[in-house]
Amino acid sequence: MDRSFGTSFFLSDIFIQGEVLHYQGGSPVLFEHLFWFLGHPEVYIVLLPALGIASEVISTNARKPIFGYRAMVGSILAIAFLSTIVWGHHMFITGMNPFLGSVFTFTTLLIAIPSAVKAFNYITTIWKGNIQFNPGMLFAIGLVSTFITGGLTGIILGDSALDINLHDTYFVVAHFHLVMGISALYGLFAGVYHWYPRMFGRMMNKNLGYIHFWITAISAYGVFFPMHFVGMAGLPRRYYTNTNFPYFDDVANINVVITLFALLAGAAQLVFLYNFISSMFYGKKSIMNPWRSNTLEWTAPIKHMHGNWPGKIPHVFRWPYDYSKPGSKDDFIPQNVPLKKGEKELQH
Amino acid sequence: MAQKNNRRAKIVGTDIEVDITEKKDVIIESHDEDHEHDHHHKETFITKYIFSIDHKMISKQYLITGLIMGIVGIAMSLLFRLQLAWPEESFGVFDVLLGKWATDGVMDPNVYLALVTIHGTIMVFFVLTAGLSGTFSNLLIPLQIGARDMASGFLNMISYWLFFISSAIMIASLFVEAGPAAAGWTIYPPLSALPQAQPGSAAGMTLWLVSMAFFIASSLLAALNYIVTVLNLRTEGMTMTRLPLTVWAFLVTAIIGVVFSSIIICRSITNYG
Repeated sequence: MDRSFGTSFFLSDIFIQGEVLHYQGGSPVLFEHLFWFLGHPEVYIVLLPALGIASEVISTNARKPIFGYRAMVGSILAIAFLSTIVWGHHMFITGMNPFLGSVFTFTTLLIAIPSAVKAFNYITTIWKGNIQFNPGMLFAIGLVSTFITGGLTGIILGDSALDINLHDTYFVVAHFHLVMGISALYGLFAGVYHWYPRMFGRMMNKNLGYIHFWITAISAYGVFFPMHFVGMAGLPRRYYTNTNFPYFDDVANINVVITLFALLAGAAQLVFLYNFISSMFYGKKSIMNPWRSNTLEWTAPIKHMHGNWPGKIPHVFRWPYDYSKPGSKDDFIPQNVPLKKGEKELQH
Repeated sequence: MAQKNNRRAKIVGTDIEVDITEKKDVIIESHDEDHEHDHHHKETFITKYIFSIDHKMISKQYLITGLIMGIVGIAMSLLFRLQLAWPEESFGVFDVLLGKWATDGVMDPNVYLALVTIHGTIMVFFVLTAGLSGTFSNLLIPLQIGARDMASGFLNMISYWLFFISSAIMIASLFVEAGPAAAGWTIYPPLSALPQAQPGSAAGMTLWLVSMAFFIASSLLAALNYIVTVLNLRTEGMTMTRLPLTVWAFLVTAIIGVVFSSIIICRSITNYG
């Protein structure tokens, strides 16, 4: 309405090329509040599905039950709730009352608790597992890594005092790319590698998957690790060029290194695309449950059909993480297998 | 998707039986012993691959659209990284891809801002929201909870096609005369609110806002579908504490999406009108 009907929700006292525009009474800061009231939960709209995928992939490939199921569910709920009361940390330098800033600092730092619960539970699930290092698992582990490294810098940026120096620098770019961008991309890749057989009835090429993972993982850190230092040196984001500021000459070479790693990362995605497309036609045909997983999707036929299962839908008798259960012949027990006489469901 | 043979079915987790004779697009799971589903409707190419109401096909549509958008988004980041590493150098690839916005192969400052903006928008919304959540929520929710499809296959199809339209508009915005939106993915005013603020604030910004309105409509429909499916269509024995953590994550994500979609719609309207 501000653009087309001359309202002043977000505009006030604007001069353009010497001309005074008619807007009055609006506030761009109101827009920022509205934007980030959505924008921060959006971070978790992006991240939570990736974390869910990681839970499934890690437990399956560690051949161990997920550690702390209820704590994981509680963490998801806690993160979702807390994500709604932290938006102000994107706006510390808008002239916000410092007391309000300290409130947003407190709520922001609270998110570190459920996030840490998730990170530790992933690590504990992997701990002493019979780990299957397939590409899906590697990307899931990669997600845990970037979730931690990116999350740690979030603690710095969530502090209203420290943020004054770092706001709108490449430190912020490095933080959110690692914790949200790369982590979610790794979740996407983990999911594609893991459920590709379920989607297309064929396996992706494992060796190309390894190449894809290792080049991506090395180059992602190659891009974003040095970017923290560029940011701490004060380099602002979104500048077309930094050559007008001799102060930044010292970081010019780091920018070249970052770009070289970015090009390498881009090239690695071509490997993935080739693997993705060629496996649809030439990939090895998949069996019904290639990862020996417990969840119901692996009990449905691969052949395309509406309704997912011919005949009856499977019933569920147990939780989805009965891996390496003592007393069981196999190291997995699908959810649709009834409890044996005397067998108790794990108290998860 | 209709169930033609059954007249009555039991709602999972309850003792309630309902008449489903007239239900055309809602699946209610039944575990009657003699139950047989008639899910083998004759499909055409169009109904199977284009306007499909099958959640598995829709998940593939989300994935492939998300990957295509991802290629565009990543390519943009490589272009502006070249500019940052070797500022104002001439590159043949700029000449080829950016045309009039790269005179003699040197990137124009306005298009640099546009690339940063659209890269952020595409990666956050089109790849990591729709491409990730759309793909795996669609694929896994019905399969992992033991449902035959989403609560409404039709809404699911509409949701994907709104996402597709949204993607098409965002891509189209790259080709308008004055250039695409260039206010950053956060589109703060005044750059987003004043059409004369910068070249990208004109038609490019308008298309950005229209595209996002379609995107949020798509997300809203999808999220409502996911929530209803998880809450109502779980198979027998699939209690909430037996749900895979993937489904928990998708459910909570959908709830956040429903609650906060209204905010971005409101913002787009007040900004655009």
